[in-house]
Amino acid sequence: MKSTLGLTTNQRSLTLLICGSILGILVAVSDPYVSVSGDTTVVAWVNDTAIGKAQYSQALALYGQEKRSPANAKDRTLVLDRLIEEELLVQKAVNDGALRNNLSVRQRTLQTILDSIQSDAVATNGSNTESSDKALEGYIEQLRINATIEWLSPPFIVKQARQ
Amino acid sequence: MRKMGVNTSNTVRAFIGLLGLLLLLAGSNTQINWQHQPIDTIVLVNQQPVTESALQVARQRAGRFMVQIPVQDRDRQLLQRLIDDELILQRAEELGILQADPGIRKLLARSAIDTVVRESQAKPIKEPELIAFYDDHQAVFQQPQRIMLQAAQFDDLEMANISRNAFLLGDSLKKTVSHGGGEMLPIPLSPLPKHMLIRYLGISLTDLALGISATHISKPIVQGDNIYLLQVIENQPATLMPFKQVRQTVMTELSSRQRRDSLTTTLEKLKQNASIQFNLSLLEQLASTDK
Repeated sequence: MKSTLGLTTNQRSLTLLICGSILGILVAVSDPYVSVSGDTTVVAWVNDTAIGKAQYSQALALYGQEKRSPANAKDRTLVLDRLIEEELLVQKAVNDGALRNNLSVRQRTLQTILDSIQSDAVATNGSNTESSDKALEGYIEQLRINATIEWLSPPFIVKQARQ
Repeated sequence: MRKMGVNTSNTVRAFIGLLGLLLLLAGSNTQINWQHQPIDTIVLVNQQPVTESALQVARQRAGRFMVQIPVQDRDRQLLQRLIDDELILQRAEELGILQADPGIRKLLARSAIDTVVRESQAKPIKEPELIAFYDDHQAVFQQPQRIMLQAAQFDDLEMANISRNAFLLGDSLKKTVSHGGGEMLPIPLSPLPKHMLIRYLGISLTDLALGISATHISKPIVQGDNIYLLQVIENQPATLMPFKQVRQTVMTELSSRQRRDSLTTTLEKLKQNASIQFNLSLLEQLASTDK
């Protein structure tokens, strides 16, 4: 079962596997490559989250307004540093579960989604409360259909515990 | 012999396979979310727990609005509402609203800061720590130097000298100034700290005034087109307040500095652990456009 190169099928497959592994190791140990130099919309990446040019320019303009003079190099560094810090704090809060545990964040997020559903409904059907409610109900119903809901403590046990 | 060779190559394959798997796990950017279900989980919504404690909070918040509804129906409604809320929150995460909405971003950042501050405040401050802080920051806890003074302004150096001499011979400053064509500056006649004096005299005259002993008068001080005379009536030196008297202030100051320090440390740690990449070419381009 020798090939023209003098290797058995088994040896060849093992060689290929080793070559593949070496290639895999090289890819794994190298840093994930994110090219930012060619991008004209992103000024920085913070853990794969982009800080956009528009966001940076807006922050810089606000800072300039407060300072009442054009921003210099030091100001630009400061503004970018603040944006990075804000992004890091946002990521920390998300990792800490603020979306579910912090009442203000939770309510604001829910309200934002509900508002957007209702404005879509208003845009489609006009400012009709009934159609707006229907749109909301339909949206939530769709989410329920697509969800995996697993009861660990059946609802009736919860209810009995209350009684 | 051949069987042994096959076994060896199988072992090598298995080893390489395992190594690959380990590398994949170690190198992956994806966080593996091991489910830590709280003990009071009632229902999992796409693997996210809705708990008995969340239901309890919902009951309290619903309070009097649901008083008329029987307990079973109320709990059913609340639970359904919690499930729907969870579904909407998950949808918000999918849509990236947490990152995109400036209002939510501000709330999230505030929440992270609050968490850091809460953790910092949870650490009790011990008495020796408080005393050490007081000893190391005595300037913060001393009553500043205060002086009571009168100041006169003249247009002419000669008149200022005449007024000064008259004062030294026993006349009151006010009287000598009015005779000499000068005017008294409107400064309250009470011991004032440096920052208050600066409002009336400016920085350089205040610095001079702080160095004059009580009951003494300065030589005429020329500043621009004006000439000034400063007469210090009372000079109270800075005094360190006893620890017992300012204990509460020391506590407040130390807590405040600890909060600030812990926030700085947290941000430093977050930066160290983060992957931050700058688009230098775009930043340079923006900087040159601004110029």
